[in-house]
Amino acid sequence: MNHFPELETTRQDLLTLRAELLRQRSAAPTPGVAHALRLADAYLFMALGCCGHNDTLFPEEGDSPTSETPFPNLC
Amino acid sequence: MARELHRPSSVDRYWNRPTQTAPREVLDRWHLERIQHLIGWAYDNSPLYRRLYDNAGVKPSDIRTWDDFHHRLPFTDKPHFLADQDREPSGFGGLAMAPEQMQMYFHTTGTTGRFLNEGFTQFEMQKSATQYCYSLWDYGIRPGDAMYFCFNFGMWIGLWSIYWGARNLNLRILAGGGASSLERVRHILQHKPELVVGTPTYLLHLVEVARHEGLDLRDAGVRILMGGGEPGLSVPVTRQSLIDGWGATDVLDAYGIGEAMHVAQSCADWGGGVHTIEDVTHSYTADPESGEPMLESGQIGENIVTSYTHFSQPFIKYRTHDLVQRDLHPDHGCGWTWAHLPGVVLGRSDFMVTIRGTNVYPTAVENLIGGVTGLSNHYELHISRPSTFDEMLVKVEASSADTDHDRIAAALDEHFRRSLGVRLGVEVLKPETLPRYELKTKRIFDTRTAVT
Repeated sequence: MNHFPELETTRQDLLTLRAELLRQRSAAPTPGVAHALRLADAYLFMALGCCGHNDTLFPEEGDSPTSETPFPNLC
Repeated sequence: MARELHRPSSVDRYWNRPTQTAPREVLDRWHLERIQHLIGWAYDNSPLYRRLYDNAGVKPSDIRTWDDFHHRLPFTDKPHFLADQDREPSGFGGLAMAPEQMQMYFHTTGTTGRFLNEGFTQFEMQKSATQYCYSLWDYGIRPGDAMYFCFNFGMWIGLWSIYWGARNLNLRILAGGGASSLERVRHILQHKPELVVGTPTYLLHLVEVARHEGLDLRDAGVRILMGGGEPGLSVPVTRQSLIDGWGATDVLDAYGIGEAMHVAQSCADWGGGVHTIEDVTHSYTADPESGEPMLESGQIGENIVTSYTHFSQPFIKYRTHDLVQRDLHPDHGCGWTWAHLPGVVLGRSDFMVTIRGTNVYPTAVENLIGGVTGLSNHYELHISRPSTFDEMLVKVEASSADTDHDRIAAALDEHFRRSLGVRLGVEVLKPETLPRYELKTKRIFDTRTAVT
């Protein structure tokens, strides 16, 4: 639920963008690409915060310490 | 003189208009939802919070309403975090994420006797810093403007958070670290920044330093003076002294709680205080004795904060011990609906002096000094207990050498008596008698514990 309806379309678009960004990040071919996408995610999340997004509080919230292999393509 | 200030129109003055101008009921619904989420995160990930909530017999799912939040959820306080940091090998209290995930470490200024260690992830540094953008934007500061820092950077987060705020807004950053006061004056005159950051005392000190050298800071064309850390920037007489000495257009005040990264800032229409930045923090007022919420505008009580920028080390329903007066429906022309704190910090609930039966908060005394013309912003409060009762002597510098000290002392004495209901000792000193400090100025000298 978003309490700021004028921001809802933007919030949904940003969530779509974030899903794609996270997909690209999980498949990042190099640490450089992965790190830059992690920074991009932080900035994108600040935009979500401005839109009243409450489903996730911060980018790392859904991460579990063992759930992610940082650079799968390098393994 | 200051360059022409970019005065935003009513449309573009807001950094995030939909939330900044939302009705109180909407903001409150959004806060409750976010707080519920945050409580669940803390309970699941922070051993300190799990212990606190288990001991109180409360689970995150129990917090469904504001009444639950106010009455069922326990407060957190600095001693909880200090005890936990003593216990934890990491040296940090209340952590909900591993220390390796932190980007920067800080600690509090230690004014209450112990340093509380603070860790921030990369995202948290960025997010915390956005708090400054709302105010800077409203004052007409835009990307490409320059900000000069009159500080050496250390373990105190205040300066770093402003620095990150400046980066967020894509300002040009000029760092005055390691420079003498005179060198800083020369930097400012050379680079002509739009914005200078410092404590009010130090910004006034720079005016004196410049005059000694035959320089005039008004030639730098600085538009905005910004700072905090001590009273002054919301005291009319001090604001005017700064504007006159610098030739500035405006003064921006900021109030922060470092550990919780709770920041409140003035708006460009300045209503005598600061707005809480509700996109990134929740706060309410509680009776410092009973803990009961004080939800009517205008009541003075303790500021209780919950941070939405600090998740690796959550601060939820955290007692600041700062006394504030909260206006939940501010109407001084800015259009911000976020709560306003007139007078900023009015005192400390844990630091009070009883003088002849009257409770006196030293911060209240500090705020009153600015209400008498002819005095500078340089003062000291000396608290002692020569016999059975506490006494307070206020030493304050006159603003100029030709001031009539006796007349000013009498005026200040009467101002205290009328405002506080009690007489304090008053001593008016010659200008430049008291020491100058770069960071938080040492102004309160309490020798009561030395007296048996």
